[in-house]
Amino acid sequence: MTKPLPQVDAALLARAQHGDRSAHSELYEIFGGMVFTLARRMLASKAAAEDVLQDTFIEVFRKIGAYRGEAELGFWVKRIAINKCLMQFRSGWMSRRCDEGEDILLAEPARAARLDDQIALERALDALPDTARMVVWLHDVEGHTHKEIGAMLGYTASFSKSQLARAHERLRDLLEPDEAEREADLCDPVLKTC
Amino acid sequence: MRPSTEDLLAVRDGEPLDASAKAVIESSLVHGRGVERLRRVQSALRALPALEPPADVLARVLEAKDAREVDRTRWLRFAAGAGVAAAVATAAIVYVSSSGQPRQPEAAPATFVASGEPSAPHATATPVSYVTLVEQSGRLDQLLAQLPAQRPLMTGATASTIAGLEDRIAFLDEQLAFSAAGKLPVPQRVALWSDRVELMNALVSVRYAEAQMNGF
Repeated sequence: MTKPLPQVDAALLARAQHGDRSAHSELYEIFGGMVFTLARRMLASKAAAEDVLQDTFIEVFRKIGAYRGEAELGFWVKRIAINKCLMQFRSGWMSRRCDEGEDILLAEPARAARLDDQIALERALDALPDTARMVVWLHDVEGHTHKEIGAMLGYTASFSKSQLARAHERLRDLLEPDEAEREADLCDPVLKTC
Repeated sequence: MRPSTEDLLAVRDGEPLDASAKAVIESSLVHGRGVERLRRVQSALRALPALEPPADVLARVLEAKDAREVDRTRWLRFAAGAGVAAAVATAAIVYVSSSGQPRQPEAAPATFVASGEPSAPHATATPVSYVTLVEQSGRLDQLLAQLPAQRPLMTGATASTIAGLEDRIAFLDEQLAFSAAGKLPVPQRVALWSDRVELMNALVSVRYAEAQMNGF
C-alpha cells in the first residue's frame, strides 16, 4: 500500500490558482517534502533532487490555474515531479553528477547491514544503477505498473520487470550478503540443486 | 528448475506466472522465504522516512515566478507598444505621402504629361500615378534614412521580417533598373513602383516600431 497523498482544501487551491503568493508557499510546505523525497530517492543525488524540486514547483505554480481537479492535486504534483526526474535522467548528465560531501556509498557495499537499518537501505538504494533504482522506486513504492514504467522510460513492460529483478538482486547482495551466498549455495543453477 | 527473481516478484505482486514455476515456488520453503524477503524489502523501502526539502528552494521558486511575471508584463508592454508604434508610423507615412501633393482622384483615368519631343517612353507618356508612386517611394527612402541604425540585438522575428522586406525591395530595384532601360511597358513599371511603395511602407513601419522600443 502506497502512502496517502497530502490533502489540500478547496479554498487554498482557489487562492493558489489566483496567484496568491502565500497560498503557493503553503502548497510548497504541503508537497515539498513529498517531491524532494521522490526526487532524492529516484536520482540518488541531492543536487539533482533540488533541481527537480525547484523545476517541479515552478511548473506547478505556472500551471495550477489550469488544474481542473481530474486527479488529486497531490497525484498531479507527483506526476510533474516524476516527469522532471525522468527529464534529469534522460538528460544524461545526471549520472555523471557527483555530489561532493554527500554520504552516498557508490563503490563500497553496506556490509552486513540489516534490512531494518534505514541508513543502510538508503545507501544500498543509492548504490543501484540509475535505471534499476528508478524502477524499484516507481514500482515498489509509488505503485506504478510495469506497463506504466516501461512507457515512462520508453521501454517495454518486460524491461521494467527485468530491471526490478536486477534491483532486488543487487539490494540483496548489498544488504544481506550472507543470505545471498546461502541462496547461491542452495540454488546452484549448474548443479540444478534448486 | 530454479525460479528467477522475476518469478519470485511475480508471486509477490500477484502477477500472472507460468503454472509450473508457480507450483515450484509455492512448494519450496527456500523460495517461499525468497518471496517473503522481497516483501520485506518493499515494506522497508516504503517505510523510509520523508526528507525535508532544502529551505532556500522555495525562495528560488518564488523568485523565478516573479521574474517570469515581470517578463510577461514586459512582453505585453512590448506588444502593445509595437502595435501603437506601427499605427503611428503608418499614419505618419500616409501624412508624409499625401502632404504637398495635389491629390488625384483614385478613380480618375491616368493623366499623361505632354512633352514636346518624344524621348524616353516614360517622358512622353507618363501617368501621374506613376510619378506619385516614384515620389512616395523617395520620401519613404528619406524617412527610413532618418531612423536610427538597427540594434545589433533584436528579436529573431523582427530581424527576419526586416531582412525579408529588404531582400524583396532589392529585387524590385533590380527590376526597376531593368524597366528604366525602357524594356518594360508603363503599366508594368507602375505595378513595380506600387509594390515598392507598399514594401517600403512595411519596412518603415517595422523599423519605426523597433526604433520606438529603443527610445527613438
